Amino acid sequence: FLFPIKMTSPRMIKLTSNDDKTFEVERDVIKQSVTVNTLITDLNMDDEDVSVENQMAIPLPNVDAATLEMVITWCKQHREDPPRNEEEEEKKEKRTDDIPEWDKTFLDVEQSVLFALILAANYMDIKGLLDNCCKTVANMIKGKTPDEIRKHFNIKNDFTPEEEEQIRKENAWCED
Amino acid sequence: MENLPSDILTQIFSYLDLRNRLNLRVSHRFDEIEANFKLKLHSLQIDLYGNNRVSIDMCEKPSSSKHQVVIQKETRNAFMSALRRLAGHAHFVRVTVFAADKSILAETSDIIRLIRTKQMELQISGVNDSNVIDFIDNKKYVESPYLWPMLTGKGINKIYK
Repeated sequence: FLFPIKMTSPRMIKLTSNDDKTFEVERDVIKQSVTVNTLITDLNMDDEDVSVENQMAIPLPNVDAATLEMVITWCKQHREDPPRNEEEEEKKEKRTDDIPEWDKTFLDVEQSVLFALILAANYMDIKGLLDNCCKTVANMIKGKTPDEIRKHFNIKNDFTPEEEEQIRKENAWCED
Repeated sequence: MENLPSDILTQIFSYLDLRNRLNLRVSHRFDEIEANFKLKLHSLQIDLYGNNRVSIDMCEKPSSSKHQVVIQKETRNAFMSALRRLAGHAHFVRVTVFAADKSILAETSDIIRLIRTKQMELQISGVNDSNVIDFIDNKKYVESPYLWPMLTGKGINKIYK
């Protein structure tokens, strides 16, 4: 006897960026976004009877297409990651030398792109991506003097000379 | 970077040690983030009573007890583990060692090494313990002469009595 084999294609979800570009992404990939995951559940979008063509796209008004594409790429790369235990994560020593090699390369981008990714990861609640982005920024800060930090991140010094002197005095104990 | 929300900046601060955080006081906004971060200090108070009990208070502020852990066994390891964990995300950790005798104070050498590495503040006090007072007043600890140079090394900014 030959039994018909039902081919199941992966469940797809549609996401729309704030510049109206729609992406189709596997349900298993985007589940890393707590925000999207919650919406899918709340809106009963896991109903298998609804085809992707008839499915409502989830709008992401805070994320542009270029950033969303990067977020999806990151989620695809990390789809096999074990689920995070936030309690355990909280207990871990805070370090920045544990960014996976793939992420290091992936996050080696212009500052504006990195900050857009941070905002997207924050909005979409993707803790792994947010952590690695923040660690990347922290690594950019480490070892720099205040002036170097201002220059690197284009931060305007809005202190008065007196305020700056006061900070210098307060920080003096930490100098070599 | 200035446009990032405060909670994100705070997370970035949490990955930096004290020296780098102080260097990040580059504008009023960042100075404010640093000040708020400082308010989230974890004050770690440790009571060492022999080798059988460690009480660790982790507080948002020294006066507000948030969480207490009492560990019965493997005192020193548990203590070090808790301290390392705190050192990762505290601005500075104020460590109070209530030392009951010399041997226990000597046990603090690892703690002091860690404190020095992490540039944390150190508070040493003893309950009716002349050894601790000697240790602070004379800037030496006869039984453990290697301790004081570690204390006076960079990173230890204040020693409270």
